[in-house]
Amino acid sequence: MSLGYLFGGGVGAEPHGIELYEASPLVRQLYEEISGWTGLTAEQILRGELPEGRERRQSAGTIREAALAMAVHDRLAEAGLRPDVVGGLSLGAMTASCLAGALDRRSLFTMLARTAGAPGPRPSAAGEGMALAFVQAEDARSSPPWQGLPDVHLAGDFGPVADGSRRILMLAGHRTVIERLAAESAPGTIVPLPGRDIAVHSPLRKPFRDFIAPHVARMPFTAPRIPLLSCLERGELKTADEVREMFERNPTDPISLVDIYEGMRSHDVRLGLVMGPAIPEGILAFPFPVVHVENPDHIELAISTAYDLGIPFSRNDSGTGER
Amino acid sequence: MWCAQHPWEPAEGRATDPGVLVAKWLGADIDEWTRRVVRLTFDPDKGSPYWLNRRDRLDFDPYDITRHQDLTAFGPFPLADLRDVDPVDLVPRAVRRPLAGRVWDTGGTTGAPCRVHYTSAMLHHRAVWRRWSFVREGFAAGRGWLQATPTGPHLIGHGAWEVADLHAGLVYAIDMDSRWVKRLIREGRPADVERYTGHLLEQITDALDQGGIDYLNTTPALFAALCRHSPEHVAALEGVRLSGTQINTAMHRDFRAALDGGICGISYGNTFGNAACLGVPENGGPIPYMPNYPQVTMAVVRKDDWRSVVAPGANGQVRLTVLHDDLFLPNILERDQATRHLDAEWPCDGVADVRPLQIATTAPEGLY
Repeated sequence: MSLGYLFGGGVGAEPHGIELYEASPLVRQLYEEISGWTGLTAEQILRGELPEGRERRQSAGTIREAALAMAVHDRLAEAGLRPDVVGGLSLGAMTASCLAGALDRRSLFTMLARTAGAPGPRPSAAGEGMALAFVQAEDARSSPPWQGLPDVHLAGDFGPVADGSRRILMLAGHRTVIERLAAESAPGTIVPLPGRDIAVHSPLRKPFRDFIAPHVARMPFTAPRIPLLSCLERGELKTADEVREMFERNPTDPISLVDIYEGMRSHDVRLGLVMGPAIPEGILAFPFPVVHVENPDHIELAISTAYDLGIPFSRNDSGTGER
Repeated sequence: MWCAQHPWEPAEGRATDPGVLVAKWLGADIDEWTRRVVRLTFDPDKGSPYWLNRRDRLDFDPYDITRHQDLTAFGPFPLADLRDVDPVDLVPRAVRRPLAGRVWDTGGTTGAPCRVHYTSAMLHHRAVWRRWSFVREGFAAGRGWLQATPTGPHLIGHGAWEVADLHAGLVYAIDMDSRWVKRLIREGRPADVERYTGHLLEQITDALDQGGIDYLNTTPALFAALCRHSPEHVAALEGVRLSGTQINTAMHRDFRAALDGGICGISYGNTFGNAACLGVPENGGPIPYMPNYPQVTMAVVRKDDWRSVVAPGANGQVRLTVLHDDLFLPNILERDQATRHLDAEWPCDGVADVRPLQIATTAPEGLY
């Protein structure tokens, strides 16, 4: 009977974590530490306008998102909950690695801050974009409308929606092609994601991968102390090298939430806590109950639900979150 | 106070055959039932003082309510009223004064509890449904029970009487302070939660060691703890009856295995009204519950629009309506969420996959 922590992907364009920050000295201390590692003030991390420039904006957004996820983790740990298994999507996979003990926090946030210096697109390059594709569940394996389009790539699989009628996939590619695809598809089938101007988890992200690879190669990974699930294929990352490889491939390879929650199911997860707002509530079909944790009320709900479902509270420090 | 005017009550007195009564209730026309309860509630001479006081502030005539679905005109029931008004005033004056009996609490884990009076007719209704479930689930009459639930102001503790009086049971009991557990959780005191749980488990196992107890009535959370703490005591039980906190199919499967062939019956509800489980899906799907119709009806509504009932299978907030002759509480927005469930056996909507209400980011665009 296990407790799983799920970390979403994406960037925090909206202000996140303010209530937790204001309510908890522990969280304020965490943000001060992150501030020291990243050069951003706590205010900038929490609610500041994201900076101009594609990569600087992306970097600050990922720091905001990872900071909130870590704050939620620390508050839950303070209240007696620690995960038995963790996994995350994209940025969430990196945060999960950190909280699984495969990487120290300073190294993670230093890396996220460093990505601000990644080269932007060439002026002549086509604009990038992303979209969600809502496909009929039974058609998930048949030819999708974007098949054969060279500039659109399958970037992610979020699995079936709650009522099982559809499946949500993520596309990345050239923005104009994605917008044309959306216009030519049935209404509501292809939904471009507003404000997402980087085609993450696709081959178009190769320059970023090349930029960050030397840094990732020097990062001090260790073997995870608790099960860490990959979002790039179904399975557990057990060694330092496997975690490092996940970091390397993460920018260009498609991600799968299904791989994570099926992995959690195989670990007998009975309650999943979604850390932060990156995975919306009530949209997806998880094979176990989930509680979405974004603010102090949710912390209490998570702990109460864990008690209700018979999840034992933590009695030792064998868990997660080395600083 | 038992009122002979209840139409489902046989003239010869208080009937207890759950099969007969439940069949009669399930055959009730909900619109006709609604009209009758609203008229009793708003009767100028014999109606509820609380509702008659509110009548002047309504922008419609309650006597114009002709259908159950029209009850949305009353708006969400203001639960804060149940913290302030005299519970007696909720009960129509048709029930003889002074009222005798118990006032029950609900809520109270955060803030002041809500309080309602249950007339003997309401207690009887609740007990008949519980006995109907016991029989359906296979709990034999005339057995020994251990009641390990909240008691005191909590209606769930009245189950001891229901078992003893209507199911010929011999009932042992321990007390459980659920508000204290929630407070410890809220204050971030997991070690104290574990300690208090251990304190309860010691009392449970002590009672079980004495012998003569066939069935345990408790919460899923406490039973899960008992399964971990003392599996041999669980395996020796002939059955367990669970309600009060959430349960899912994985837990139910674990409990069945721990019981080693024993019965695991469940229900959903609170002080306002209950719902019966007609069976746990073998395929692991969500557990459905059907309300104790027609006195209790449930709907699953959009979290952002309490008037809009969601599609079958979709998720939303539980909206509960109490339609007792002696208590009218329309459109209670519960602190639970569920999926809307339909059952061919039932004349109204049910709920499935019930869990505490969560309000969080919901836009699909937030997926990345």
